[in-house]
Amino acid sequence: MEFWMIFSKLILLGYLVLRFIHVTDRNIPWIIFSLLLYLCINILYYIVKQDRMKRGILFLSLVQILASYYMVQSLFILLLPLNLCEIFPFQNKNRFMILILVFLPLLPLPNDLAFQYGLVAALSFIIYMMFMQFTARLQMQEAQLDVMRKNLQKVTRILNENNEFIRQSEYTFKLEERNRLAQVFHDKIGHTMTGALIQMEAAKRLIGSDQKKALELLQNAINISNMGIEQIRITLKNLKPPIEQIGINRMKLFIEEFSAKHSLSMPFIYKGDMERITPIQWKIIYENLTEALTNALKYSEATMISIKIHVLNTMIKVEVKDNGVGVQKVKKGIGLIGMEERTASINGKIIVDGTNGFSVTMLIPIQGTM
Amino acid sequence: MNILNITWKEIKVSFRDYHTFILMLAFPIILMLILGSALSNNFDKKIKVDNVHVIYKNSASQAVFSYFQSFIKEAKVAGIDFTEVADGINGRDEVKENHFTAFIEVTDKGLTLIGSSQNSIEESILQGMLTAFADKYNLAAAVVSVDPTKVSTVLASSTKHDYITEHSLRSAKAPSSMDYYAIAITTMIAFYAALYGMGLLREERVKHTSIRLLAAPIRKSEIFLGKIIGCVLVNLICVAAIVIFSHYVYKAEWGSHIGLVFLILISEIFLAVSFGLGISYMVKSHEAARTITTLVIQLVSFFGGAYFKIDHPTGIFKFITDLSPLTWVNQAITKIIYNNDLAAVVQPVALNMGVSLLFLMIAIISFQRREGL
Amino acid sequence: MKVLEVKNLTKKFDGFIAVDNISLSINEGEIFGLLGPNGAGKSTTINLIAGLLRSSEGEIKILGKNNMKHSRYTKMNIGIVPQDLAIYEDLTAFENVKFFAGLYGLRGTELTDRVQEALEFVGLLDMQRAYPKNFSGGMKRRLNIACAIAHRPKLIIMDEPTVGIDPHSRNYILQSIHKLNEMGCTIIYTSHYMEEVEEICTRISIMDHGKVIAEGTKEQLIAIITNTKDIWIEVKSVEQIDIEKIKEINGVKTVSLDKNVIKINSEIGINNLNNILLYLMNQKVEIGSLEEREPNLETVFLTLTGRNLRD
Repeated sequence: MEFWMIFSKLILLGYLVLRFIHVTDRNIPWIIFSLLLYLCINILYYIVKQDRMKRGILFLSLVQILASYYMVQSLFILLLPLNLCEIFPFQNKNRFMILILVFLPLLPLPNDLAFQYGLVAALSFIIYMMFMQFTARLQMQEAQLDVMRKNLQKVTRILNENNEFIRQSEYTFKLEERNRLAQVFHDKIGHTMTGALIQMEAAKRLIGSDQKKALELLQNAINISNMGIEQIRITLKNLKPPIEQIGINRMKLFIEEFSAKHSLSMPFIYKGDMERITPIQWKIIYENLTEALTNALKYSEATMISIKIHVLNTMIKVEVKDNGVGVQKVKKGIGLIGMEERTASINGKIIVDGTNGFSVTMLIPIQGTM
Repeated sequence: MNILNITWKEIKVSFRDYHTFILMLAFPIILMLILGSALSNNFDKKIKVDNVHVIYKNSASQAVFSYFQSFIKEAKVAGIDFTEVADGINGRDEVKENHFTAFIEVTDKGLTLIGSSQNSIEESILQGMLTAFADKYNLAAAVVSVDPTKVSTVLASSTKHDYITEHSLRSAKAPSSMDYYAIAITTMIAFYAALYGMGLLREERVKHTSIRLLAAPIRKSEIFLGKIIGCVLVNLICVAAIVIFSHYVYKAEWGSHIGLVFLILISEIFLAVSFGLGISYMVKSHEAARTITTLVIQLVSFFGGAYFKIDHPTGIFKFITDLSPLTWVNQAITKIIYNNDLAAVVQPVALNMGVSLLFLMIAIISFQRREGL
Repeated sequence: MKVLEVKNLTKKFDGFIAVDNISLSINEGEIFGLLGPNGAGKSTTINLIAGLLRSSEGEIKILGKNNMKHSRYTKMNIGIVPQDLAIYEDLTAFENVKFFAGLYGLRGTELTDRVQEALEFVGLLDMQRAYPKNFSGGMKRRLNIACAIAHRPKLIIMDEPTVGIDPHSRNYILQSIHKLNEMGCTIIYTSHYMEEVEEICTRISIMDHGKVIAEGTKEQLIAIITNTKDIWIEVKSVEQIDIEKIKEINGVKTVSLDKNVIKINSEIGINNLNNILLYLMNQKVEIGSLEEREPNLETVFLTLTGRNLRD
């Protein structure tokens, strides 16, 4: 959009040059110098990116125009309005101010110049307004597009994550189940069945010689088989292992590994009834913990990271706290926002405190109690 | 209505604060007294002619010298002492060393006057007297050549004593030092309103009353306007008090168009308040704003002639003095008082209002954008 | 009716998030407490509600109306008592209240009457012609309140109104809050004095780092961390005591003996102290001292954040 401003300035400059050709003036070198100076300053204005620098240059340009007006050629004042417009940042509220400011220099000008100035000022004002409006609209649309793009990305990411999680947890559960079943069958039912088999084998050998003894053995085998069936029943009934075992053990394992890998001291304390933490809560605690630990590793320069899980009456509190440098004003990065979003999905909250080391505290309500 | 309410509160609060009285009333009145009496020598109008000591050297014929002696006698009445130069003393050096106001050399060919540059007014008085004397002598010489009997009548018509009125139309109504400082200090104090303007909204923030003002169902612009009007009024009242005090106690001249003088003063106060306000919004820290405002006030006062009169500046110095609003204002007020030049009111008022609006605009833009006051 | 509804309110200052996505809802007649340490975002929240600050995100509705779109209406119905004294030392008590009440469109005799009513309410009517510079801290605080109530707002916001004053004035102020509440005002009360909030508030939000971390009645908040309390009874002799018998008393969870102190852990909300004492008396046990250790909001805050309310 700056293109249009530059073009407007060029047209004005062209007009001035044409006028200067017709005005026979001994001042030609100075006029050319001033024109070039104007050109330099204004090109610089569009090159520089920093806002403060831009302002400085703009001010310089205004001074230059005024100086040229007073000392070289009065026509230079015609360059003023566009630069005056540019003083204001894009905000529609200022419209009236710009109008006043642009027409203010009209007052001290001599008549013939005033007419020209008025024309240029009015045109400059209109051009600038259009420029502003278009820019604002474009920015708005781009911002909207950005937001939409981001949202899309986020949704896709969440979708992928969830799919991954579902797949993984399915697999985990299957594996756990299989393990457990194998263990139980091997440890208990296997032994029982073997026992019954041996008894029956013995009974088969004895059935000719000592029927009474054989019957006894068979009865034994029947009893053992009964017991086996009962065991299978119990095993099937208790097939689901206590979830807490997965959660807390997995957590412990993870912390130990992490601690060993990065040679950090990582005390882990848990208090209260761990069974009240649901699998989805465990999942989020686990993910947030990973994120918090990664952050701590990256920024904190900590030597110790303590992890506390405290199951209160109606809330679960998970705290990850390091003894590192901390930070006075916490700025939310993607990591923190991600943690917040995850926690919010189960109605939890995250408190981040950087005044004494760095701590991330998750507060998750226990389902059905709040 | 809300604006009035805030304005009235502003006035009450300001006048119950004794700082207002010290800075805006006691300070200028005392300053006026000090500068007005201490620097009165710089204003030559009231100089007593008997302060004039003249040294002369006679190398003319007796006939010519006798006329000069009669002039000496007359001049003595007007309070001018003549001393004949003693032998071995160079009259010029005496004047250079400021022992005498002027050195006159009387010859047959005429009179030579050598004055010291330090006492310009006395010198011009003397010059006037001598010119008058020489004219009369020339007249007498001319009469002699036509009708010698009439010479005595020409010489008898005594010369006027009041030479000044003859040679200076202006001085009948020219400011004395007190008159000058009454104007200069008053306009300077009016510009001190910038300090109030600067603290105008900060004061509410410091007192935490800004919370209440913002929480009330009134527009921000009403707070803004009410406070500005209040501030202008407070300063105007102070300035008015100074004007009245200087007029009745110091007998300072304020002319017969006091309304126009106040119009200029109001526009100046408005300029000062807007300037202070604008600065307080442009500069973030209060300390910096205070420094800038104080500095500008001092520079403006200095170049505006508040501390001493700046006569006919030239070149770059003139450019700088012209930048000071006090220069415009003082010149315009002087013109109104002493020259009855009523049109002089237009330029400073227009300039003041124009610049004020610029600063106000800056303030309003930041005010609208800023949260809080 | 909802006097205040705050939805997903966020306020950022130069990237620093002072209020982080909070939601509140306050019904008519409540005394709603905002509890949290200094810098938790209480004052910012209040300033946002009062319309002093523009929110970065979210919406605030007062009496059903958006506080930015209908600011005149909402501001008319709010009275704010700022944390710092917001009075003019160079105006008398009467003039102070009159000036601020005047900004709410009150005029003439109605204005004078309301001003005097407000001054009487805070007990400063006798001092109305005096200047606040001669007031004690407590009197200034009361004047600070009077300035906020003369226009009879429906919602009164009090930001730490009892900071740094003597106990007498503090009680006076707490009583006035009750009185205002009885007169139909809804009150938002912020403090980092847990005792005050516990005493007067019907519902409480605990804030920390710009977030509401818990909300509810005092009991609900305490229930977050535990549903039991400790009762410690010091006795002269322990021989006649049968722990099992005490365990049978309704609500008692655990009982242990530590030298001559009986430590009982009992459910909150079941009043069984009488039964316990009755048992001890029947056993002819002489009681030395009795201590009931119930968690308070300070404990709640400490447990949830690991920090104290007051640093």
